[in-house]
Amino acid sequence: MTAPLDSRKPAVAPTPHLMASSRTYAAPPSDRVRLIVASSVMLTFISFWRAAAIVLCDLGSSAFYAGGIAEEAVGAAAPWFILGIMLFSFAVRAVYVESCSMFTRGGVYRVVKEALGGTFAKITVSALMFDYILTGPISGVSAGQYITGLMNELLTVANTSHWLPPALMDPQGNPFQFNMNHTSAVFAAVVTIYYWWQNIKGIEESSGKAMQVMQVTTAMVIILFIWGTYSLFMTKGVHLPPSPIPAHLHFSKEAQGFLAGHGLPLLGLFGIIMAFGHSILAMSGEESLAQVYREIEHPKLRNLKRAAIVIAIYSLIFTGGATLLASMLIPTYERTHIYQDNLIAGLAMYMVGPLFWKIAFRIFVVLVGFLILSGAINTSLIGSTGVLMRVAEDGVLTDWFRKPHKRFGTSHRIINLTFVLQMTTIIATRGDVFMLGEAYAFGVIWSFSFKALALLVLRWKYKGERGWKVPANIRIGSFELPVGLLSIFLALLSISLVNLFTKSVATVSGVIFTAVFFAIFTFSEHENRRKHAETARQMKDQFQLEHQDTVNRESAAIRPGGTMVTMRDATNPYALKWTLSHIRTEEQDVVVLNVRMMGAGGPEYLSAVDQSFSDHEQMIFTKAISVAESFGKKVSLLLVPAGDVFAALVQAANSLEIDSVVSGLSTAMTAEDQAFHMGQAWEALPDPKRQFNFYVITPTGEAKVFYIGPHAPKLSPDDVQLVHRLWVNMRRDPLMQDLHHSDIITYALTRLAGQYAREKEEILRNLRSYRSAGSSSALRMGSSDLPGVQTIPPGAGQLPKPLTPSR
Amino acid sequence: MRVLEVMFFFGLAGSAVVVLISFVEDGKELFGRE
Repeated sequence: MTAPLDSRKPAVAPTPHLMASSRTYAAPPSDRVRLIVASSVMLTFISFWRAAAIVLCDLGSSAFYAGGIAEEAVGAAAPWFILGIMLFSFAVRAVYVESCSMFTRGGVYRVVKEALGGTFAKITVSALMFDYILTGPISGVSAGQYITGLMNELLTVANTSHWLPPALMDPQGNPFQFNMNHTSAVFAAVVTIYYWWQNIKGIEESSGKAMQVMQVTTAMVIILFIWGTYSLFMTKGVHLPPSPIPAHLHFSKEAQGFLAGHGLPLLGLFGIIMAFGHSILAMSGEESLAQVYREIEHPKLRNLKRAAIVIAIYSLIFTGGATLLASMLIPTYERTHIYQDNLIAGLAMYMVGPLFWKIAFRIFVVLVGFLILSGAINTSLIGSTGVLMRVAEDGVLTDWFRKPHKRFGTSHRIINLTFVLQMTTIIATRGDVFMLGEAYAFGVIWSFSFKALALLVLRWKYKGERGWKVPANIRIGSFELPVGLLSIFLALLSISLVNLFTKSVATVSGVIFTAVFFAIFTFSEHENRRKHAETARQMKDQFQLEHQDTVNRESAAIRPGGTMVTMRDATNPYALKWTLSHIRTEEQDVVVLNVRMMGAGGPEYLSAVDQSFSDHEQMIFTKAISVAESFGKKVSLLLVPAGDVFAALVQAANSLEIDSVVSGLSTAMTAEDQAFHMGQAWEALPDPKRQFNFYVITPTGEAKVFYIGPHAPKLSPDDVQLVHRLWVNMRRDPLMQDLHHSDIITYALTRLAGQYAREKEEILRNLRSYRSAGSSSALRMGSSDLPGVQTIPPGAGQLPKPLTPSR
Repeated sequence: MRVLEVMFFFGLAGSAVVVLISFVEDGKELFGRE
């Protein structure tokens, strides 16, 4: 390491004298650099409606394929089993609410690990991975089935109307038809590749988009039920599906799995269990509820319950109701041979009404299906990445997986692994929805079963806070018998065990997948234990680690008005170099911040023992110290776990009362985009909040500064001239002798605000045409001007003072 | 086979009770006062 120019002291920030009780220390020799590690993860919170929308984008998507798959397996009584499963999902939902009431990240991994230990947790998470990996292909292929079905229908209609060119007809005059499975597989592959690339680049997780998708879906569901009910009354011979009794079950050969050909009587209650097993995929997606819980706003548990109610009722109506309607309106042959993989599209075609409107509604159904199902592909990529990141954070996957992408900073190796597995699945199944559905149920049911078992064990083992319990608990003295939870577990376990025998594809592929993942996890964990012990020892040797629940200025011993530099790449620390060349650290503190990105479903809090440093983080902080020493300046080091990098930056800046945040230019977005995202995160920050300057540094040393938060706009000389002319004119009035320039601006703005409240559209229209006219005195509200951008050339001196950093 | 059937029967019956109680609780949550 290079020694500082001014002294032989290392680059160490002042250490506070008073330490809060919530902090823990690694016995510090005085010459080590202090590194503050935040325990609370910096998150942005969402309403229960948005949380419900995110989960429904996964859970609701199964409505598009679950009914068809179930009927193919068990026969015409399938809609009753789908409805039964959706009712049963109310009970499974209760299991998830109880687990979240104990652990903020009450997902399968955490709960099973707490109750049954690491080995069971690894098995369960392997099964869950199987579920997530298959969610993508089944959703993509199902969306493909809807789109291909529509294209074939349109070709048929065009042919009937004699609009089809001869090139699209065979010699017999039949229209060309796309192969349903193969075309769907191609579609699924294309969408998966698209989302893979989006995730590599770092797709924004947007609850707003989920809300929009669910609003469109709700519009479709409402039309579906109103028009469907009307059609029921107008169609003769409509009847309910056969009742769900053993005599009405007709299992296909595939649905009998290993039991086929053994002459076993698949009747009685056993047949009912089999039928439930073939319908269980209708409630896949519950795990998303646990993943989204950490982001739900206060009061968390109450909002979780509300979200869970919305989800359960919506999916009961949508998945259960649509399957039932389809079985009543679509004739048996068409339902089981033409529309079995795009049931809701078939439903649109069997409504009562003109063909034009039926096709128009079918197009709408396909559009909604495309939105929700392709969204589910993305959810599966994000979800599986989140689960793997979660286990990686726990030291169960090697650091190799956690290394961020050089350009985009995403966990690209985990994303690539998920992507390769999903593409392999699509190619292997060649677009066969039934095969995918059969396999899919394995991960769903086994992760539920393990979860329920774990929760049952925790009723005795866990002594911590529990906000809510699955109901039906019988108290006998001091002993409490969890009748409800035990019942749910028994039902899940019996279905899981029967599925093992009746779903041969699921059992073989699921067991192999789970075994391979379990082996990877076990080997990685063993390797990591040794490696992390070494990294931890090096970190302790090099840094004075200090864990703090939350970061604030006093505890971090930072003076107000400091500068925070983000550092993501140890090989190119130009933002830090730029900062240190512009700042006198005797006057202003410099904090080097690294954000540890937590995957979806990650924790809300990480204790000191939960935090294992990766090689990458160690390299970043070592480099930061080395750079600071080469400048002979002091820096403070800070590591914060976060769900969103911009939210983390504004929260940390606010807590540390920072005046300037300095970042390198992103390789994935422009400086203006970075500033825009920073501004968005600032807007989402609760009061009180500080304004600050955001500097984006290019590799050539040029800096752009943006003022984050409300700030005085830059007025052009023309604008100033205009105000002055108005002032001169108005002051001619004898009663206006004490008029100021600012009065004119205040009056003009107040009038505009009043007018905007009344005539929003007209004002916006005028403003748009005013701006597009390119008038020299037009309001400058471009993306670069709005945040108050200023460019600082390379080699400029001291960092300019912020314009308006204040509370 | 019989063991699985018994497990399933009791499991489903108990789950039905959970669902019924949940409906009542959900009703209070949705329509009850803050």
